[in-house]
Amino acid sequence: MKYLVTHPWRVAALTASHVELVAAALAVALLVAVPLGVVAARNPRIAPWLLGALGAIYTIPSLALLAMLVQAFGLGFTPIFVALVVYAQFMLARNVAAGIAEVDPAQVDAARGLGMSPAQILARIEFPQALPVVIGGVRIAAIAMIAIATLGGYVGGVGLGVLIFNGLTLHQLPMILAGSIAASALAIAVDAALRLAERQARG
Amino acid sequence: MDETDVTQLDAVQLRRSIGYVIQAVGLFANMTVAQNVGVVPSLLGWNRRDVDARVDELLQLVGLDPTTYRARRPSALSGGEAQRIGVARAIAARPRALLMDEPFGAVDVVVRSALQRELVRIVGELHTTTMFVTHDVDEAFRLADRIVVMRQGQVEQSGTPFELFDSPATPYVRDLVHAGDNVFRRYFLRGRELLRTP
Repeated sequence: MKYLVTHPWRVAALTASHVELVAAALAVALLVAVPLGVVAARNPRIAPWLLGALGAIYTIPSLALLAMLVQAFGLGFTPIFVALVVYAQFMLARNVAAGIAEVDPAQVDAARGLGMSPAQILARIEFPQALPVVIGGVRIAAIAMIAIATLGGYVGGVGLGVLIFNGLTLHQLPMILAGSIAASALAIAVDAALRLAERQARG
Repeated sequence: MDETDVTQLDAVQLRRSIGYVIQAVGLFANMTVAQNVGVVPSLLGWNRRDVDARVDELLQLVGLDPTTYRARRPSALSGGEAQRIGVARAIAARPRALLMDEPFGAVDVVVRSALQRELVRIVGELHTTTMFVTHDVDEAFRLADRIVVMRQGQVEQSGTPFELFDSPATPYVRDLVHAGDNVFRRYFLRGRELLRTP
């Protein structure tokens, strides 16, 4: 706790960069995962292959994936950002697909019979009802991303991982603890906030 | 329909001009009763005030108090109430035709006969051509002006309920209309026939 008390502004600044990294990666990940999830929900035949492929990527150890990405992009913000986007795909796309698949087929039938276009059915009926499940996926993905983003301290000098890896190099336990505690607190706070959002979306 | 070949029309536009009621009702769970009833008028671009007024008018037509039901969620409705809302939603934009696919299959007998009576009243008020699909012969006899008997996608016979009962064209139609309480049907259908002919 000593480091937290002596360097509050440094911890705060690194927390901010951690949040920035995770939030940006999450936003981009959603832009990719929502269409993928819709495709999976629409095509039950290719869904297992698509989600299986994303699941396979998910099983690659994060450090190994990051090593490959550093080869491709060099050190810095990009490799950890890409790693987070790729990792989140499985959790996000799976929940989007599951949320849409859960919608009562009679409602989709009625919507079509009443003259909604496929896009309108998605936007007005399917997506609103899938939202709680989608937020559940965002919550799980965000927590995992906050943890994995600490590797950004190793390859890019961003986020709370900086404290952890510098602490390791300098044998400064308080520094390591400060980084770990801040990252955990962030994960707990995000978890609580998204749980609340999930409950709100359930109505 | 209305002298136009429906196969030449855009499917989405055509569906908006036909009311559609299904057995499973399919009220949208993420919307209130009012939003459900107003969904087709909204799709057609009616302004908000017209939609609201139409919703109140329709709720009254199907016998549900607007102030009580407007803001309700479909999950808070009984089966009979839900199907009334389903009917209100189908006729909201004054469709040129109404298609009902076994709409009362999922409710109990008491509610079903109440809904049938109301349907006769509503359709009478609307003067809308209604196509009603059912497996229940008595339901068909009770509601229909004309019945088309279908078997494996082929038309077996088409006619008034009394014609079907009195002179079935095929063995299948005979088995169908004569399975059940024949004495009651004969009186019922003859009574309807007498009422119809001026």
